[in-house]
Amino acid sequence: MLAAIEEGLSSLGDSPKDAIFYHLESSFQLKKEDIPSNLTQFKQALERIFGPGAPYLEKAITKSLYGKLGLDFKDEKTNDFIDSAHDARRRIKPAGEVKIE
Amino acid sequence: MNRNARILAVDDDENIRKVIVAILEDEGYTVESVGTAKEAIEKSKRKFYNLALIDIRLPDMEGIQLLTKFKETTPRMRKVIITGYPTLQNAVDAVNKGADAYIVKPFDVKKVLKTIQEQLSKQQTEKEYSQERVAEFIEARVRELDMEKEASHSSN
Repeated sequence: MLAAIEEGLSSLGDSPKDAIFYHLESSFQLKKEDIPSNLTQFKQALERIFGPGAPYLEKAITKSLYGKLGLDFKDEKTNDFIDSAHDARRRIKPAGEVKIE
Repeated sequence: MNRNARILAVDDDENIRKVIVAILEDEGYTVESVGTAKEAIEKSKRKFYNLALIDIRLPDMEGIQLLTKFKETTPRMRKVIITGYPTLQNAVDAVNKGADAYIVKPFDVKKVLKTIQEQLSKQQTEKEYSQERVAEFIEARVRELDMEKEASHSSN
């Protein structure tokens, strides 16, 4: 999950990605390694920082996650980041107990 | 210098395409080539190319027209027009339609490579600049949020 988040945020470039991680920790008390277990907090922080631009990043992360897990990504307007992560977890678990972290 | 750059050569002359591909691959670039504007548009929709070399005369569309299309679909791609018929009007049209550079046939290989390197370097600078702007935006936005938080704490 963390690798997908890194890849998704990298769509903005390396320095913006580093800035996001830095501010998540300093202003939102969310350490990089704790993001996968605090997705709601992460999503809220992205929404606070980027406002209407946040779904773009959420979609990039979801797309990366699905790609890494070999799942089909359907680009829909209703894609919700948290729901998509849970959906990926559900679809992967029976096959091989893969942990999304 | 961006040696991992992906380049698309658009020229209806197969021999010229072969030469361009050979020269640029020797320099370490990833190169693909097509003979028509239609194929070029299709390819650019599927993949990002850092730079396109576009012959001014293509069988299905003028190279200048293709520039306009590329400007809409892939604005960040650097676009270099190639012409065997250098006229001032051609050059003016190419620049007005969004060409970043202009190369004259027959090729002076050194000049072609220099033009490509310059364009890729400009692209890299623009990319870094826009990334810096995003990082600055994030910084400013977070500072704003921190101030809002402080203000709400002190009013409570």
